Amino acid sequence: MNQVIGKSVNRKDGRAKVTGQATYGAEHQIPNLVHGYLVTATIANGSIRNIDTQQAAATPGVIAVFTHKNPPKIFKPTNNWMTSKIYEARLPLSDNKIHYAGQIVGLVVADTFERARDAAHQIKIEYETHSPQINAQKANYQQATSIFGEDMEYLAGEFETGDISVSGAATVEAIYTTETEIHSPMEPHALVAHWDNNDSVTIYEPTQWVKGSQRTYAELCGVPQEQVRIVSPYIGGAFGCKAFPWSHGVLCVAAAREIKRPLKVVVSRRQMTANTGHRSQTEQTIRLAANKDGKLRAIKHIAKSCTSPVEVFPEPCTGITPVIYATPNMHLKQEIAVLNVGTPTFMRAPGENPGMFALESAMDELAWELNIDPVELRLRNETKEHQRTKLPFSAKHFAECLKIGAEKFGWSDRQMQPRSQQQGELLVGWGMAAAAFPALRNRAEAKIRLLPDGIAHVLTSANDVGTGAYTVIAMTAAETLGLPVENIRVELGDSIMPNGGMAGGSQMTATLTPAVLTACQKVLETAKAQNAKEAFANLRESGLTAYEATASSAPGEEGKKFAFNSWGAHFCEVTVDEEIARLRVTRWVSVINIGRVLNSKTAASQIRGGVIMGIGQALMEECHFDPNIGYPVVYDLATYHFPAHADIPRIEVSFVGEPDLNFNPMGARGCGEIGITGVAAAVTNAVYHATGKRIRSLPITPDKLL
Amino acid sequence: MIKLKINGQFKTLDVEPRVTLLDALRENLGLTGSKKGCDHGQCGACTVLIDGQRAYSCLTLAVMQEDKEITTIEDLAKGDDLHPVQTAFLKNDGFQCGYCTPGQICASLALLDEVKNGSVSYVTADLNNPPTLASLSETEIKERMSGNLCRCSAYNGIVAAVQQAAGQTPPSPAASIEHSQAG
Ligand code: FES
Ligand code: FES
Repeated sequence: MNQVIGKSVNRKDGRAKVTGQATYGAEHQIPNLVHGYLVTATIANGSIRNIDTQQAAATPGVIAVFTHKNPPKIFKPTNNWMTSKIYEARLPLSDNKIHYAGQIVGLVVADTFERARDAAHQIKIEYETHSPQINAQKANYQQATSIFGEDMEYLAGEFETGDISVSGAATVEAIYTTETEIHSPMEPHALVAHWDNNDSVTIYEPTQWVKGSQRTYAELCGVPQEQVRIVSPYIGGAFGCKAFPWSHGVLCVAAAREIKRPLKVVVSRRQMTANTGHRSQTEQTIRLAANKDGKLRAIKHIAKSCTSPVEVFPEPCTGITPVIYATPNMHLKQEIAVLNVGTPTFMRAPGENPGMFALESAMDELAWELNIDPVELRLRNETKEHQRTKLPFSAKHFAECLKIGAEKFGWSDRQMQPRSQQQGELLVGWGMAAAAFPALRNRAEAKIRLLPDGIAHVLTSANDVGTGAYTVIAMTAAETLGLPVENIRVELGDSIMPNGGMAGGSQMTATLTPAVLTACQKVLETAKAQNAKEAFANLRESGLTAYEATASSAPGEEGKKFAFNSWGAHFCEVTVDEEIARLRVTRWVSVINIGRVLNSKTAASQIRGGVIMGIGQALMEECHFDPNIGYPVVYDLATYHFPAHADIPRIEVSFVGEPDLNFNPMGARGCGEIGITGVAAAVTNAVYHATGKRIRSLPITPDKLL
Repeated sequence: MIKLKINGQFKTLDVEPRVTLLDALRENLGLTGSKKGCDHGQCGACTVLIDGQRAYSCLTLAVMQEDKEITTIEDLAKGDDLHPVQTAFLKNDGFQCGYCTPGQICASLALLDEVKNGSVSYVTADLNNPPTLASLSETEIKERMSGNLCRCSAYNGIVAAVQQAAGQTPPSPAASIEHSQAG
């Protein structure tokens, strides 16, 4: 399997994207389209005493105004993650209560965007205001409830027997905090809902999960699933915040039905800050105890995160803790508190990201404590088996990530003491951390059609959020059929096509490419051919219009025999100008183990994207809330900073390891999220080396370095 | 009624004075290649060329653009032939989701012209000695492209694309693969 697979291939969707022809959610041209503008709450806790829409309704061009007094008809979905899921359990406009600032309280529909916006600003609301609970320090924490049935507390060894005496030659105990982060995809949340006669609807909306979205909207509209079509060929970034319908989407679809016109709703960048998801702030306490030789005796990891009154979502920080290092004694616990904020949700490496910031910082602190090189400390604590499930890891090459990364970076030249490396006036620090992310796989289906013009056409409802899915699907088909990639046409992101699964949890490549592989094999069987060339010859002879096959692929029993996980190591250099507390990341090396690499170009971009988002988290990303009114004090891309060109050095990416054929027939594990894990710790560890200051709270803003 | 010259063609539009150039392009003319990321001049996704200069089309009103030459992403390729900057983005993987890409490409195009015209930037060491296409450094490119955000963070690829378009040889966009991928 090496004709095309593993090579560096340009994106299949590249031409559409560089020419401006790729069409995103709000861009589908529908005749008779009208525009909706959201009205959002300016208080964080309380209720609406009075809402005056008269003036707005009388504004030229206004077609309808919806508030809690006249909400469009919305049916209650099962909302159980499996059959349907909406991000925010409370349905929009369901009553006059306000649970967080930025909550949707109305929708104005007009013939143009400008007129809808103008009218929305003319709605007058009187609130009954209660003081919001917005302070995470003062919140009331309880043991978190699990989402997918996982335990929220885990005790092993002496923690379990209650006979807790674990200590070692060295112990580290510290509290690490991370700030609220916002996904901030470049494409704002947007959709167009187009009803046909009140009983079927086409929804043009960016979604990471086309079929899930279809089922959910069907329940929300009270129509059969087949009567909802989701079209989502291109998505302008998602990172976890475009997996399920948000309240604005629910409202748009319901309102469009009522006004009997195609309706577009675009959430403004400012509104997005408050009502389309974030990663919760976290506070994590970690205790490590180790022997003199660095072998861990115990890990204790207690994580707190916050959720919204309208939805429960714990940031699962401790999930990755029993994966990375061997230890006989372990205590993990997740706690959660409710604040008057919008719904927190999955954001690139949910849990693993803050969790590994804490764990990999603590490991660095332990290395200094024991005077052991941090790379060596990690090698000494390597484990062949998952500490909770006791299953052996499949195709694990963590040690190589560490060793090859150290070599590429020149780690052996590191001067051990903090503040020992300088470059002119600047302090220079080197840091490293591990990366880890579980390998997930699900069921998916793909259809393939061989056409008389020598083209193989692959169709599936799956989508490409920028991951390179179009390209790896084409490469998989090209490889299996023995055709050039140019002869493969890929169509994605439409619910009328076979179920391609979800772009989330870094699972799409691992889920979908085996289905494409199987479908290709099946179509050759149908064509009674060894390869595509023969198949096309047979097709022409047969006079048929196409050979067609649909196949699905799903995990089997392998999960009972192996633990599947991806691995990596980051090495970085920072410089610090102490006088003005300017921190810059100047060099980066990541070595990653994800089984078989399908496209060395797009996979590298995925890792770079993760690393850079992690650098943003380390250096600048934070969303604070006003302590009195509860509104986010960042409200757009000028106040919520994430990295720009000038912040970022070249990120060197290498992959190690062999195909993980226990995992799936392609041997591929995903690579969308592993890149971000461990990044923030690598940076704070480098900052410690540079300055002697241990930063335990992200982001490392200048005030923390002065 | 206003008359705009867009991609070499005159278009007559009936828009209110408060309509931005970006919304006129996207909502009235069906030219959705220019993207709305923030609507506030903070992200660069809406970058177009006005009389050859890069501009955030969300920050200017359509009615102010009569008598100007407006060029959008839709006009760069000639039939099947991509503009060299587009080819460079494709080859160097200068994008992922593609949403910031039209803006990045328009900005890159203008950047190359600015360099040809001897413009300096905040990081130019000697203001009397502006960089040429051949001497344009990575730091210069990053500085001059920092008005265009990319949340997918295809920054390395974008810089490489500009290097290629400037006639330089950029580093490979692909990762190195160190071990056996056979099997
Ligand atoms: S949309 Fe114009 S700068 Fe962001
Ligand atoms: S390619 Fe997605 S934002 Fe730049």
